Amino acid sequence: MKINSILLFLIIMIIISTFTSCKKDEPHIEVTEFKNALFIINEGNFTTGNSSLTYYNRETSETIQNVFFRKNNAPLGDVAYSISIDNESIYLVVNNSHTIYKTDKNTGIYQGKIDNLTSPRYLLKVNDSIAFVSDLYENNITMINTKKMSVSNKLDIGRTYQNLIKVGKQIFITNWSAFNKDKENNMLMIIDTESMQLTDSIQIGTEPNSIVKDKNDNLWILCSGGFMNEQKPSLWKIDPVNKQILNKIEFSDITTSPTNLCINPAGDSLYYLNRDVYKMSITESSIPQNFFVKQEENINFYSLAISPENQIFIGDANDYNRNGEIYRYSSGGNLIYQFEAGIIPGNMAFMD
Amino acid sequence: MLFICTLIPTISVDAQMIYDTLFLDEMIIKSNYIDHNSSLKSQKIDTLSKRNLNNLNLGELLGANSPVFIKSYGKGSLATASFRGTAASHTKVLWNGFELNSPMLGQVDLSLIPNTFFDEVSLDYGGSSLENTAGALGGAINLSSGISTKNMFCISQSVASFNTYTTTINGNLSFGKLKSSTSVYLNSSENSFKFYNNAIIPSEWQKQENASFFNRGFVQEIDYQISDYQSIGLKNWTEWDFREIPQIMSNQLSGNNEETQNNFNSRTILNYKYHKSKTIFEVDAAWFYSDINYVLKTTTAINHDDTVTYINSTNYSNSGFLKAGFSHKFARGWSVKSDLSFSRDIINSNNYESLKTREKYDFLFKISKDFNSRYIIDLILRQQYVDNKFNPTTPYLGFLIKPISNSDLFLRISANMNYNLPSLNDLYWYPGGNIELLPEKGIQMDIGFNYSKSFTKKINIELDLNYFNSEISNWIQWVPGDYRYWTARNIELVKSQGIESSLSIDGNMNKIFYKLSMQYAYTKSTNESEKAEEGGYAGRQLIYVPLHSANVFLHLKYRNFVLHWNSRFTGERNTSLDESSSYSNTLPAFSVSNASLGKEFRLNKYSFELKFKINNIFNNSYQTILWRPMPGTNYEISLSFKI
Repeated sequence: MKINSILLFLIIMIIISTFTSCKKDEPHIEVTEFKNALFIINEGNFTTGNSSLTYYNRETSETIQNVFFRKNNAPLGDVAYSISIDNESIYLVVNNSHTIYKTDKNTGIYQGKIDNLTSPRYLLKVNDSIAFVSDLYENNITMINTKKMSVSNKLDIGRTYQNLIKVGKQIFITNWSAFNKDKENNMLMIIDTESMQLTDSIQIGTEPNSIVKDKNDNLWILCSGGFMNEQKPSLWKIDPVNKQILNKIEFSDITTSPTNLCINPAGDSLYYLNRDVYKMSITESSIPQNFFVKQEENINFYSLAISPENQIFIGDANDYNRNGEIYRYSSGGNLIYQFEAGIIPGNMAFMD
Repeated sequence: MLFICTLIPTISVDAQMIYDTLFLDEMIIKSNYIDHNSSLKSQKIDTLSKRNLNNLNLGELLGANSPVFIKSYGKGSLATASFRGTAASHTKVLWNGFELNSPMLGQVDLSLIPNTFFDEVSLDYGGSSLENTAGALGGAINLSSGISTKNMFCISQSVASFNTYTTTINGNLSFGKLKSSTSVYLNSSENSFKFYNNAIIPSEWQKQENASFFNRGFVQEIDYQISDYQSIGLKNWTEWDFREIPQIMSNQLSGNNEETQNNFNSRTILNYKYHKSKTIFEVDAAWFYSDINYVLKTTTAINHDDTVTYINSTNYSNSGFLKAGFSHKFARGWSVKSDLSFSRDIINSNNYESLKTREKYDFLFKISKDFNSRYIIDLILRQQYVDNKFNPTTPYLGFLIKPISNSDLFLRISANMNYNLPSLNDLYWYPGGNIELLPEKGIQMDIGFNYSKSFTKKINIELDLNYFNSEISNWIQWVPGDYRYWTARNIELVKSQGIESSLSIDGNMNKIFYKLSMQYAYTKSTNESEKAEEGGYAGRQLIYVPLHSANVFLHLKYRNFVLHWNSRFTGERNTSLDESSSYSNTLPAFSVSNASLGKEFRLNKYSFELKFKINNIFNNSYQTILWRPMPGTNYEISLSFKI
């Protein structure tokens, strides 16, 4: 019986020891108010829900990962795609969560959300209370009320679209995706903000992926030439007032896919990614032959942004499975600083 | 459940004594987990446990009773096995000797294997799998069945939380030399459990949506005894499965997403067996057919008729097998086993550019020498010839030593080499498949001991401890290529080592029969490739491989009452390659406990069993995959009837 008693005791002990419950989430780490911020949207992996927001202080180089989670105790979601900042708030567009989160501009604390969008990509504030949201799959522009965080209207424009930019009273939008749609993806469409109507469109190159405005208020649009490289990539210069094509510059290599067109704060130099980082003046009329920053081996340049101080920030997506890196370059092309971000660092935004 | 239905074609000593009821007259307890006649580490899953989970699937059985980590996307969803820290394609699942792994994916979905379709399950660890199959760099899971000569019929119905209904029917009939066995499995669930969604703001309680599933199928076996030494058998396993694939917790838009998977499988084995004293000669022919249809349809948020994504992927696979095997026990402890098999896979998939095939010859030779039952040496050689190319020969060498003649202490030591072929998706997927891929190469070493002792007639103890060390090179990984798609490449080098231990105790105490079984595994599995070195994640535990895992199961029987308790513990798991700890980089450890209480009744020659079961008793909230919720406490009631 002695052995039996010991065994019984053992059994009871083991059963009790299995009562252990789950560990709680990581503790809150206080993040002081955002200052001199660079925010990096880390897209994460599709259907994995590991998007995150990285905060970087451009003055102190303090870096905090997972800021959204730390502030709000919830993950950012699945494939966060873009960030927009207005006077009071930060808007985080989380593509595959079908959600836009609005947080306080200085603290990052949750203020509201819209969570019934099809496939939101970018948000552009049009006036104090209205923003346009572009969608990868919908033929509509979704107009949202950013005060109430609700959908106020949908404007059918017949195509899906991606980038949004405001020039005067007009909004220019690019028709990036041809996915599952019968129309070609090569249009620049124009909406008048007073009538809220589609007023005009201009045919440009296939798969326009980024758009900027230069110091002369001309638009520059980068077209990658299509997913299957149907066309040579091209860079377009357009006069937004007369809707005239001022220039079309073709890339020589059809197999490349340039993306991420950016412009410096002075509005006279364009930057883009085509494996390496390239820089060209707005007065040039040909594609630069030499890179500005070389993409070294095992580096995967994925995103690009120019800060108000005219410094170049490049996101490195690594192998898309582990955390990426951000490289900070001076306007002269010298590496100043390098730091870690989250998985697939994409869209970036600056704030004072 | 189905406590009463299973028939195990093995013999044991005390079983009849312990289970002195009509119900259990054919039930056998396998008291030894590990075979003492071989250096191979092959472990049987406890039959009491298996029977208790007979209305569930293999993933749930192994998750609760073995050190194999089951990566489950949720109840009714995809479940794959990670054996000794390896990938899903490194675990081979064999049904009566034939591989169930999909030739396309190289892996098996364990949630589509009902426990009622086989009688016995054993795990071949690492190189021990070489006797039965090639390529199981982690290990192999053997499912076997046999037909009892006794006529019986058994039906069991269970009703569980979330509108889950399961019916199992098992029947045996024999007419002279002809025997037949039939198993039917019908299972459906709405699976709409409640969970606390902390992946959204504000967090709230929600019901799981789009997670329903059903599994329907049967296994029919017929055996004909031609003569005293010869028999011929036919087995067929046909199954229809359907599941909805739910979105992850952060993706809330409902109504615009329809993601489903339909599987149809039909597997047939024709077997001829000659068995005379020490000689076995077998010839098998088998044909496995599989049809998988995956559909993803999404619409815009405002108009559910406006489709934005539509994927309809159909994949048909046909695999034919021919196999001949011979084994003989010679005098003075020598024994020899050899078999030769041929297989041909034919895949028709809209993800491949054209019809793809694979032809494979596989030759096995095993020789063992037993020195007076004190020392046993096993040597295995396996040679594959695949698509007109020889793979390197894979050897296994193992020793079993019994150091003390009158004590049941056995030492095992073995080393082996093994090759796993790339899956056909790795080779031919369009785009990104890579026909230049080499087989993955594994080298493994095992050392361990097994000790068993009966203290009195009432208490038996068995302890097993094993250390393994393995290295897999040319591990296939899909990586971003120069174009916009990913490609498969032989780039990873994974080193694993760990300890597997098990302790089982059974006995009788004041008319209470008890059996306690515990297992603990420690698995350190890291990527040591150049790529990992450069990326700074070399030495970090692989994602979704827990360092610690353990389980306990307790079975108590008093008169007609049976109490079952099972707890399992899974340690913290990485979900990302990155060191920095954050909410999405690691999943916390969890434990889940289930208990059931059953009572048997007898009415003339009819028997009944009523059982009540509680799953996840402590209502622990856990995820095995990031942002895939699992149910809290839930209940099940079942009634079985047997003639």
